[in-house]
Amino acid sequence: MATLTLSFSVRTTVRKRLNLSSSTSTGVRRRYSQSFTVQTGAMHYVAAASNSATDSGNTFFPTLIITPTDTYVTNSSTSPPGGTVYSYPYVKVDTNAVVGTCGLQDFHMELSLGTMGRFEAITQTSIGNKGDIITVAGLKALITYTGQGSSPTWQVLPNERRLRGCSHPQQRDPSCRW
Amino acid sequence: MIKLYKAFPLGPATEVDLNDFFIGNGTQVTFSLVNKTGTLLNDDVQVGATVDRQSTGTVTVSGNNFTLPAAPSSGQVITAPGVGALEFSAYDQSVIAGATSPTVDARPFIIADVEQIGLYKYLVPTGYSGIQMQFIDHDTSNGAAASWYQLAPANADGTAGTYGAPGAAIDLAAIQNSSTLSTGSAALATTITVADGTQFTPGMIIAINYGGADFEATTIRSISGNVLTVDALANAHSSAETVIHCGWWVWGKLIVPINAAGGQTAIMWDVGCDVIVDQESR
Repeated sequence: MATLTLSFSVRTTVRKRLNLSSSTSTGVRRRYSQSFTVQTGAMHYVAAASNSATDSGNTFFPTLIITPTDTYVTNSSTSPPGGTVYSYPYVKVDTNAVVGTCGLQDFHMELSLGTMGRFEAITQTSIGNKGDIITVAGLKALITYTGQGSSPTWQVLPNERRLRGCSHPQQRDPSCRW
Repeated sequence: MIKLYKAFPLGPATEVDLNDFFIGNGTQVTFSLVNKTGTLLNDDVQVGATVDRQSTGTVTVSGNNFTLPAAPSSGQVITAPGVGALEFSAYDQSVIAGATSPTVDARPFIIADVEQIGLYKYLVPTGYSGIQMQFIDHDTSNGAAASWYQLAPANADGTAGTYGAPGAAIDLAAIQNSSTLSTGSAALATTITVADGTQFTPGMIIAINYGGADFEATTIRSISGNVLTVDALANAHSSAETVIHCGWWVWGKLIVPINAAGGQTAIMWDVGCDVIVDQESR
């Protein structure tokens, strides 16, 4: 009997995204559209990553990633207030979902144009109350908080009609809007 | 010898080659391959964080030796992969238009012996819980990390089973059981009848008539008594031909950390898929 220890070849390739903004100098306008399917029924909750019941008084950085092909759902009880129809998805922090007695403090959200693959802060908003709504003009939201509590959930709501997105604001045309 | 294959049919075109690893000493520029011949050396050779290539002339091959453009520094890891490799590819960005999970690439592959399975069986090494498979980072200072990878045994229907923790090993049962066909079967048949169905479990890859002209490998999808439902056979087979368990399907999954390569293309070879198994004569 012989014990064999074998190492087989593995190629790990990190791919480079297509840089959609680079085409403007050629006069070719590139655009993509992406539909977010709206359904009725249960909410789509995304648990905060890297959080745990032991988290207390620390700053941490759960990353909520809204991918274009995810299905986001809403229902009448939590649809945008006032019947507002948003032309982009938005994120609501539901502090009622937080387990703990002290609550959360100092929320802020940094938004990025995820499709560009680079961080670009668009807005930064302090929120502290259940039901506060932040609009997201990109596809990625980085949410941070300090305070005490655990297991907040990030509630992702869709617009109520199909969304068309642009690769870059400079490439907008009338049929392509956020 | 047990090998990895990227897909069926199990043969040279789908075979995954072994790595060769070396440690630089600051002066050596020529290295001798141990686990394969020079003709099987991949175009790429990773030296630390750099990939040198035969195609650009920075790696030259003579016989089973290859020469680098400069001597790797002392302690530097040189990974010399083969032309056949498991290939995983994903983005290091979380949102890519048109990609559902851009940072993830999961795919099945095969561990099997279809060349000598009539001569050897593959057992669980002493001190292990199974035939061990694990992605190992052979150069922890550069390139990819083992924690980017997960392994899962395949379910009987070919889908991925439960993935292990990132970088963790998985254990596979021994590859040793066998029986014989109790009746013949036609080409394109999806069932075969064996003398002892208890030797097999769904999901096993089996070799039918090892060493014969109609030899082929297929996968068992379900079992009812001595009747095995398999992926459609290419050849007709006769009664009394051997049926030998020769391998397993497994799944590998790459999850690239965000910004691992700064959004740029990067090719890395330092993570290998390692197997520890006991080989014993039948």
